[in-house]
Amino acid sequence: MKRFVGFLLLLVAIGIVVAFKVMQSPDATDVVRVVGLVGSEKITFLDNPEVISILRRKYGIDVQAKKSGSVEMVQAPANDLDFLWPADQTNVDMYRKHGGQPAKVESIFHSPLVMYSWRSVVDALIERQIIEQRDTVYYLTEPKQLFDLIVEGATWKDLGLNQLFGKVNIRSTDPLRSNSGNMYAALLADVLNGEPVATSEQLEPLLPKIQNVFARQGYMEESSGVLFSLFVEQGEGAYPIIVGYENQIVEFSALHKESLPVIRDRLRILYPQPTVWSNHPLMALNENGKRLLEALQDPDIMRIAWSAHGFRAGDIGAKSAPDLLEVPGLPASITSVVPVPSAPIMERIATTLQRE
Amino acid sequence: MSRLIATCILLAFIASGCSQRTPSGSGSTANSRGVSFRLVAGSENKAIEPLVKQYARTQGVDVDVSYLGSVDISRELEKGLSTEFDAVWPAASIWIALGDNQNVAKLSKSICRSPVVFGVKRSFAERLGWPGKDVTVAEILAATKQEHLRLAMTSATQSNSGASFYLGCLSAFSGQPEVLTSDLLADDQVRMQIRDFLGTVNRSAGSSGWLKEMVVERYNRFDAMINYEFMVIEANQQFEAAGKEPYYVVYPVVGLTIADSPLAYIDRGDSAKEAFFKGLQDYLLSADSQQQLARMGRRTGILGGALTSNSDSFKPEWGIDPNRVLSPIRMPTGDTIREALNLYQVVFRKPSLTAYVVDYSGSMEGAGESQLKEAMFTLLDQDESSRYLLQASSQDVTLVLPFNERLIATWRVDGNDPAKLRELLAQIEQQPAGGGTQMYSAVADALRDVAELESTGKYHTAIILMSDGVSDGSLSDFQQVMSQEKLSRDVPIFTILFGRADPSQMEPLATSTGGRMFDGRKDVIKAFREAKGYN
Repeated sequence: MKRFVGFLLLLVAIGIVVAFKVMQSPDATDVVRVVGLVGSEKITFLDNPEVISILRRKYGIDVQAKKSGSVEMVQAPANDLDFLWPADQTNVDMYRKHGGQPAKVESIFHSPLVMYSWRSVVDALIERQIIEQRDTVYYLTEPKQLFDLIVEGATWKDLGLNQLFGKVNIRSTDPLRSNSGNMYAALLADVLNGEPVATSEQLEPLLPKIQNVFARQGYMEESSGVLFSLFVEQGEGAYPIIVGYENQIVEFSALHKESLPVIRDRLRILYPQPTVWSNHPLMALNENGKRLLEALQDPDIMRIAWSAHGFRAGDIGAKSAPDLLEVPGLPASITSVVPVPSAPIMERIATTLQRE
Repeated sequence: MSRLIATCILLAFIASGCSQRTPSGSGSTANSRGVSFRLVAGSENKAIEPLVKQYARTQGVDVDVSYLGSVDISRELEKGLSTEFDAVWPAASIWIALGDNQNVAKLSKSICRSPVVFGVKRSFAERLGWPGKDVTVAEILAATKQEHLRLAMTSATQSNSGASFYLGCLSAFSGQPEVLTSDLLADDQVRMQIRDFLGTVNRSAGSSGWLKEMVVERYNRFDAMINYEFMVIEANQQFEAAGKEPYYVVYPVVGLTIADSPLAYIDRGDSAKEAFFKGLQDYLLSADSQQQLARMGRRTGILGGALTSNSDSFKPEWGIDPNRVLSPIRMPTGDTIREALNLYQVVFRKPSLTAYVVDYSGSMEGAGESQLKEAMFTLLDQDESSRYLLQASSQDVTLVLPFNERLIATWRVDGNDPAKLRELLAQIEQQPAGGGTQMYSAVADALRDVAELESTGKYHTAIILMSDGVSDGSLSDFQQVMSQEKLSRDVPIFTILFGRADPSQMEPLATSTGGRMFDGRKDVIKAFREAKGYN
């Protein structure tokens, strides 16, 4: 008898499981898994529970994203995937070059290249009229003057910063291994040239200077995330100015609310004028990918992308309201932008740096 | 009955829970219960092990922590995915960068920070007028000579703190370039100054943790050490508890380095291990753990330690100032670091005078004998030893004293001529094992042999004793011989335990001379290398 009751209960239990599963997923038949690779900078965004929920509820999409290097993911056609989401348009070109045929490509997110620095350093550069503060935003209005100081070998002491040792320089990631370092090389070339570098004749005389700026950095990190962590952890003595993406400070402060007072007081975001855009083109490889591409342009998702992750969405230059953010110092729109030089020019810069 | 119902309902929920998909592919909700996880860390992280173990227990994970020096952690990473470890935790990121050519270390995050500092007994610092003043490496060098400071520093090729300070010195001596280059390493002025400085180092050690222990245990033998800020804090806590004068921390204004303690994962696609790793990292970075680390003298939080100023471990009277702006040197490229470390080992460092006193008694025959011979090959064959950055320099002196119930021979090689060292190896190879064990008299013989050279102060002198059995004689007899003959008590004896050797003989012999006992029962080659790391 006892055994019979046990058996009955087991049946009941199985019944509960089945009922529970049915109740739990009324939309299960509509939800489609969309599988792809993304650059590490967008992983936190795709992991955001709000984003997951909107995609599932409103669009019936369950994203299965795996982290991959932007350059790495475009080396061969990825026919078994629904999408690829690297940083930078050049990686789309590279994917096509390797025989990939995306069904649709659109740059969903943009983030300008910025510099991060500290109050004391920025104050010294304001005094030199290299940086200008308008409202709460700090603009590097004279990037050429700053780059010239670096190339000429000026010291921090020359700028009145006695607590800092050595020569003025900006730390970046390794331009041969990381997108932000590469974009910094592009910006250096354009700014030192006085206008966008269009020909190799314009580039040649700049190469020794660019090489010098990077060689003097010594060991360079491979990831913009690591460089940013070092910057905030070690402070102004170790990292007076670094190159990074605008969205890094937004994500960092969302995760480290306890540090907000210190960030507001001492950390400074610098907008070079002009700067370069880092784009995040999503390559839809099939219908599922296209479905994701459309869903990500949902107004609520775009609001989260901006307010919690710092990605500017929509068309370049579109306004992103700073009052949604907890960190001060981000402008509503980015107005002064130069294009990244063409692929052959960038390759020439890379081969020069490789020789080092 | 009701228990049965409850069990069934519970089962039902577990079953339905298990079938739920994780919300996103990059999420880390995999269950790691029952996983075993192997972590390799620098010895400076030993004090943090309880935190790691505590977290592992809550996850039902069996975590095994091994300790290796930075060079060895780098070498582990060179193996790529064939390393036996699941995660690495060296003292500084640069060791991951140097070793990880195959890009296997992922998810690296700095757990805490600590600058490498010059700690000196406070009365010396006061006499030199250092409190409140900026002190350069050049001033430290001058003071060390002028005051005859007895300085302890780890080996630059075996430990991160030694390597960091050494690179900082090179940078300072070559006129504070933005970054150290190969050309600067070839400069005669730089070479002269660095040799000069390293010549003042009184005792070296293979790891910063052991260096601190040595300075604490032998308080009267040392005046200063180069170590992490938190190691000086740990030592000072012990000094103050014992009513001794604490060390004063000097942050060299040029030539400073910061260890960033990165914890990185070796990704083999095991989601349960990855989930545990991420959880462990989050746990160590949680506010509670970070507070605990701050209490242990580590810098946490942002901006070089703003958070740590809340911790009373950072005592201003010890010269410690977490709010001071620290300007570390820029790390050179990987190739330059490798070149600098090689130069340290074969050219710049203070020469080593090493006497290997090795057991050839009957019980060594067979496996013991061949392991011993392999260990000696690792240290003396110059190609082999260069893999561990333990090569001999042209000024080194190497003695080998095989013994059984008596001293069998004394072989000596001056310098690093590979052919001569190979001859020495041949002698070691040909010597058969047999007879009894009398290690005390063999060690006394070694002390007599090194006495003259040792007294010049130009060498890091050490005796490395390896024995596999129970020796005749006793420590007290040995000590009597030492005092009768006025043999130096400053020569550390490192003992390597082997076979059935008796720790109750080997350990006191080591500690009575400021040496250490190493357990070679698992890995005799590793034990020899660790001992050699001391000089």
